[in-house]
Amino acid sequence: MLKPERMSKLFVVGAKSKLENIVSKLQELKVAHIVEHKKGEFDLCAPLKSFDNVSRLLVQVRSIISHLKITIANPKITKFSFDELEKNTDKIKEEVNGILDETKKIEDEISLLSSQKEVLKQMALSDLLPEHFHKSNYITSYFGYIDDIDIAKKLEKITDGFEIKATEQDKKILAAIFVDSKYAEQFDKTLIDASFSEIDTSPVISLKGDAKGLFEKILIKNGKLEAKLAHQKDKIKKLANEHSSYLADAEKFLSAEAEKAQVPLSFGSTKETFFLRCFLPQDDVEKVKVELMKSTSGKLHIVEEELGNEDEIPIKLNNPNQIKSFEFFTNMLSLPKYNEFDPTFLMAFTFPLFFGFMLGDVGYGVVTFALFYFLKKKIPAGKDFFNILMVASVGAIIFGLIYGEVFGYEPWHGLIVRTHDINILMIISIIAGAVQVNLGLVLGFILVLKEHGFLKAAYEKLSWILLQIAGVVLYVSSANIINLPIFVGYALLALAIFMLYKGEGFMGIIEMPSIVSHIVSYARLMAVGLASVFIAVMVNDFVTMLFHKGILFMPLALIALIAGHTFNIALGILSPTLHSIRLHYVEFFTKFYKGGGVEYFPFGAEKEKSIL
Amino acid sequence: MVIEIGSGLLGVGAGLALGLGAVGTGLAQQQAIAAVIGAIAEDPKMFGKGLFFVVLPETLVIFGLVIAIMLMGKM
Repeated sequence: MLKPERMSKLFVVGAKSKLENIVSKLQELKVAHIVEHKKGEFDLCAPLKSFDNVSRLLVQVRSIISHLKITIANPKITKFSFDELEKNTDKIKEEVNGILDETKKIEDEISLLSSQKEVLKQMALSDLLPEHFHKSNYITSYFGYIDDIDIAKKLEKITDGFEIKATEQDKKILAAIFVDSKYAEQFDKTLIDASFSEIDTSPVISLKGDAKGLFEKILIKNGKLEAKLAHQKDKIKKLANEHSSYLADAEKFLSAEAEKAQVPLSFGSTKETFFLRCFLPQDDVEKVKVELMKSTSGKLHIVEEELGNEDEIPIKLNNPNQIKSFEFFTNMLSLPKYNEFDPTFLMAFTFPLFFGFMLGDVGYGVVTFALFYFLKKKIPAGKDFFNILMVASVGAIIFGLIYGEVFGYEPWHGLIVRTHDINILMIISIIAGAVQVNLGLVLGFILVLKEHGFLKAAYEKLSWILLQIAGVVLYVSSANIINLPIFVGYALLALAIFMLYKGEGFMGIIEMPSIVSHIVSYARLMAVGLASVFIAVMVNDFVTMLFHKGILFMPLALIALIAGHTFNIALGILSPTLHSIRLHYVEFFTKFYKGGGVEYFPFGAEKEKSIL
Repeated sequence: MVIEIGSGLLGVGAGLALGLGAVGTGLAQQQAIAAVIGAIAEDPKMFGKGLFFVVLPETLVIFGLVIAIMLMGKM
């Protein structure tokens, strides 16, 4: 429980003819965390033969799914035959493509109509006809807006053999200019200099009739096309409804098949054989061995290899179901290394304790419990986090009973009255700190002891404990609480400093004050709690004051009561959670925890969704 | 209400201890938070480690509060 699941490492060698059986079996067993083979002396293994086929089908299915905009939350695990799948997807693809082609055509037409509409609108303004702009070898036409009022004079300087029709629109001049094509080049230049912004007439030159009439016709046509487009979209929707579950299941099946087909890329190979290394929980080794042997009728060689120091052993946290949710915190920071302690169990005990100590109010506890219960139902991805906070809320209720607090009121006299017994709260907080910090040091001691022996462990970890003892001895002897010669304290201190220097070097001596700061840091347990209780009391006093002012102020009092306590509950969730996490991460974990483990992710398993 | 100059000064001291501690925490956290948000934007898995660094300087204001409470006890 305090350590991650114990793992074994298997080395499997077999003939390539059995590759598919092995891969299928491994995927079915869902326990083997496969170690990627690095290309070196031996080549990488090739993917399964089905790979090309599967990936092509998968791309096809996914493209259909994206065209049909299908989202299915929980596809079923179904087995498909490839031939049938191919036939069906081809059929669906054809249908989809047919509709999409048609849709594309309609959309193109609509976009053409809309550009025609724009041009015709302008032409109608200046009483021109589309046919005026027909392409001709002898006459060049221009149509567009221009700022320069004197443009006609400028053009006359080139030639007077041109026509211009200008109308004023929104303080700009809409001009149509027709000129002999041999002057086109000069006209182009002059017009560009006069910042002429041309309207492209090409969409309408094939049209006949007057602009206004055409405009009306286009509106009608456009309406018809829009209706057609809507019909096509309905067809797509219908198609999506019809095939959504089939396609989603197929996608799931094909994803799994694709995963299976390409996993041999992580294996090594020789001409006739393949080999792989994988990690799996010790308890599963025998079962996996038997199953693999069975699937290849015994034609396989499996060796259990020793775990080496350089192995990146994947981490599977191993906690009883009751506290499994608390793994959330461990995952959030970093997974432990294989030989480290898994701090989940310790945190499952102290997190709710600290949270409760800080929030400590029956009313608030009940509200937050209900809130997190509701959120857990609403957001399943965050269920671990909400479970933790529900346990923490129970902690708050229990401490609320001890403090005698309900929404900041004190209906009964608690064992500790937070508004008065500040010193007691502070002492309790600091004792809690001393206990947890030293527990961390002891855990660290055990770890170093196992890896590097007693001396190193004593220098690195016991020195800190001795430092605290020296501090206490110095205090009690100098304050004459116990009659002890003062040099005993100094001798202990010197010993502690020496050990610290041996264990952690010069940095250890510089960091000496940190042990005090880490323990005093637990005073936040009291501080955050006080902030919470004083805000509650303040809200209540304010409301009582309003209440006594008369009946007119009652609604205001009610609003202030609800708003004030809602605000305080929000703070009361945020601060105690963060501070409690922080005390664990910073003050507690740093004594024994490094983290950095790799997640155990067995081949064939699905990744769980989490809010992180 | 008559307050002796001594307890008045104690009160000022308590206020300064807490207030300056909070300012220090704020100064330290503004940089840590900016950096951590950048890191989380790159990789959401940094959230836990980021939180670790953001809350480190909070100890300062707690020390301030402890000193303030000790001073208030002397008033």
